[in-house]
Amino acid sequence: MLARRVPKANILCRHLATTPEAATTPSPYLQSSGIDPDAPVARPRLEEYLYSTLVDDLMVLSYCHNSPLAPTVEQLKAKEGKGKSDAYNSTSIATLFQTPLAKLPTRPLEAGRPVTNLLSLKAARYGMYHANAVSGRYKRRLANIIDYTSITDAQFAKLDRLRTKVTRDEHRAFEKHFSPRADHLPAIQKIVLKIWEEKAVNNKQILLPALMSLEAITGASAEPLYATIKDATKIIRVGMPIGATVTLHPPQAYEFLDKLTQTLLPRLREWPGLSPLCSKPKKNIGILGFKIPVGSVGAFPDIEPHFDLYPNLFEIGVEIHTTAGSEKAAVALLSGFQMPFRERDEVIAEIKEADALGRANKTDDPFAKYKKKDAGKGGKK
Amino acid sequence: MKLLVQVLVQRNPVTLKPLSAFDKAYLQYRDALLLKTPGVTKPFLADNFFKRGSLLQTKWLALHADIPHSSPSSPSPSSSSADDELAGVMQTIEATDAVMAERNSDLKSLDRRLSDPVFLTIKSKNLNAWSLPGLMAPLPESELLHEAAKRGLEETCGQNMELWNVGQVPIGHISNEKEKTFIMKQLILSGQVELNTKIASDHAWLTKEEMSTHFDKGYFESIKDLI
Repeated sequence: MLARRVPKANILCRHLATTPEAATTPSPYLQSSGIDPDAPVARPRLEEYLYSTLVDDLMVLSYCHNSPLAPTVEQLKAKEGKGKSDAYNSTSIATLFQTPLAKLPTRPLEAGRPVTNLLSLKAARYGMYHANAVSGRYKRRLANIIDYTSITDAQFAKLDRLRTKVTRDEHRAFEKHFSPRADHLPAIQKIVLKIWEEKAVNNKQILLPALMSLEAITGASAEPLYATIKDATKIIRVGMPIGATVTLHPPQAYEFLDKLTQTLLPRLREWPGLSPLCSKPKKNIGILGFKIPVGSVGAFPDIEPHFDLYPNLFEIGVEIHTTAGSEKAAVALLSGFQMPFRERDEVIAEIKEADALGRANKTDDPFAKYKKKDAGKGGKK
Repeated sequence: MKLLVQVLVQRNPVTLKPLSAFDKAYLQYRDALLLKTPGVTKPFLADNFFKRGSLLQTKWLALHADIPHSSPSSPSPSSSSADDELAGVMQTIEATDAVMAERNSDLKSLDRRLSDPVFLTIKSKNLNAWSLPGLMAPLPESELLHEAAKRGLEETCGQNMELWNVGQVPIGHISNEKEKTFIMKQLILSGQVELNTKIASDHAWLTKEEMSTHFDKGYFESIKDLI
C-alpha cells in the first residue's frame, strides 16, 4: 500500500527540497514517523490556496466592525502580553508536547474521523453537536435519581427542545457577529453527493451503476440510501434502498470541488450557476447545493472514457457544507474557488414568481381532486 | 486631521509553495491516517473498468504492475518505461528553473516569485522613499475611501491594470498626530504599471521580505501585519 522505493523518484523529490540539507539528509520527523520519505504527498491546491491566500480576503469581506465581539485594540494588546496555560491558547510548543495524547485539543476520539488541526476541530465539534442534538426514538432517556423512573417522553422532549434551542441560538448569535479568528472563517466541511431514483423500487439492480458512478467520480466508497417515509401510491416501504450517497471530507472534498469547477461545470450546457440562497436557512445555514443534470454526468473525466460501462446514469445532487455562519460568507468562499453563482436578486424574484403561481393555482374547494376532469378518467368513489 | 489613502495591490501566488520537511511529514501523516479510515478510499478494481480477462485489461495491468500508491488522492505511477519520461521532466524543470531565476531578478516583472504573493511599491519623487501607491493629497470630504483609492492608483500607476477591490473597507490604518492613512486592498488580475513620472520615479513588485529592506523600519512595522 505504501511506496516501494523507486530510485528515480528520489531524484525528483530531492530536487524539490527547499534547502540543501533537506535534500541529502532525511529529517528526524520523517525518520521517526515510519513513513516513506520519498513518496509524493497529496496537495489539494484549493486547500492550500484557501489557507494561504483566500482566508485573508474572506476576513476583509466578512468582518463586522460593529460586532460586540470584535476585539478593540486595547484588548488585542492585552492578549499579546500574557499567554494562557491550556494547550488551546498556549504560545509554548513545549506545553503542547507535554500534554498527554488524550487531552490534546485536536484528537477528539468521538469524532469518528481523524482531525489533525485546530481549524477542522471546530467543524468536527459543530458537526458532533448537531448530530447529538437530534432527538430520536433511540435517544437515551434521563432517569430520576431518587426512584430510577424515567421521565415521560413528553417531558424529555420539552427539556430537549429548550436545551437545544438555547445552545443553537448561542451558536448562531456567535457566528452572526463575526470576529477575526481563523476557526470562524469559512472552510469546506464536507461535500455530499446524493442520487435518489424512485424507479429502484421495482428493480434494486439499477442502483449498482449509481453507486459505481459515484465511486468513479469521487474515489470514495458509496453507500445506498434507504427510504424513510412510506408512500403506498408509489409502493415505497420504509427501509427500501432507493438511492446512493457518498460523503467527501477534506482534503478529498477540495479535490472534488477542483474537478467540478475545472472539468465538469464548463461543459454543462445552459447552466446558469449556483443559487446563492440556502435552501433551508433555519437549519442548514452555510450549505449550498445544486443538481448535475442526468445528461451531463457522463461529462466527468472518470466516466466519459468508459461511458458504455454504465447502463444508466442519474441526476446527482451536490451539497457543499461549509462552516460559514451566513449565506454571504458561504457564497464568498465558493466564488473564491471559481464557482459561478447566479444573481441573488434574480433568484429571489424567480422564487417569488413560483410562489405566486402556486398560490394562484390553489383552489379552496376540498373536493376538487375527486371531480371528473375529463370524460375518459373516472373520479374516486 | 488629514485623511490619506494608500493601496496594497497584491498579485496572488500562481504556484504552490515548496514544502518544508515538517509540512511534508504532516501531509504524509494525514494521508496515512486517511488510508486507515474506512470508506475514504476505494481500492481500484480493474474489473469496474475493463472486461475481465480482456487483452486491454492485461496490457493495462502489466503497465501499472509496480505503482507505488502513496496517497489516496494522487497515486504516483512510476514503472520502468516511465523512467525516460522522468528524465525528460527533470530536464524541463532545470530549464524552467533557469528562466524563473532570471525573471525573479527583474523587480518589475509580474511573473517573478510565482509561489509568493507580490505587492506593488513605488518610489515617490518628493520623498525619495519607497512606499505603497496611493493618493498624494488629503481626501476630499465628498469622496468615498474606495473611490479615492482607485483614483489615486490611476493617477500614479496608469489605467492599464485590471484590478478587483477586496471589499470597500480598509484593511488597516497608520495614524500620527497630523494624519491618518487608510490602506485598501486590491488584487491585480491583468495588465501592468504605467508609471506617472511626475509623481513616482520607480516601481517594483516585491515580496514581504523584500519590502522589509526597501521600506523605512517604522513604516514597515505598521503594515507588516496586513500582509
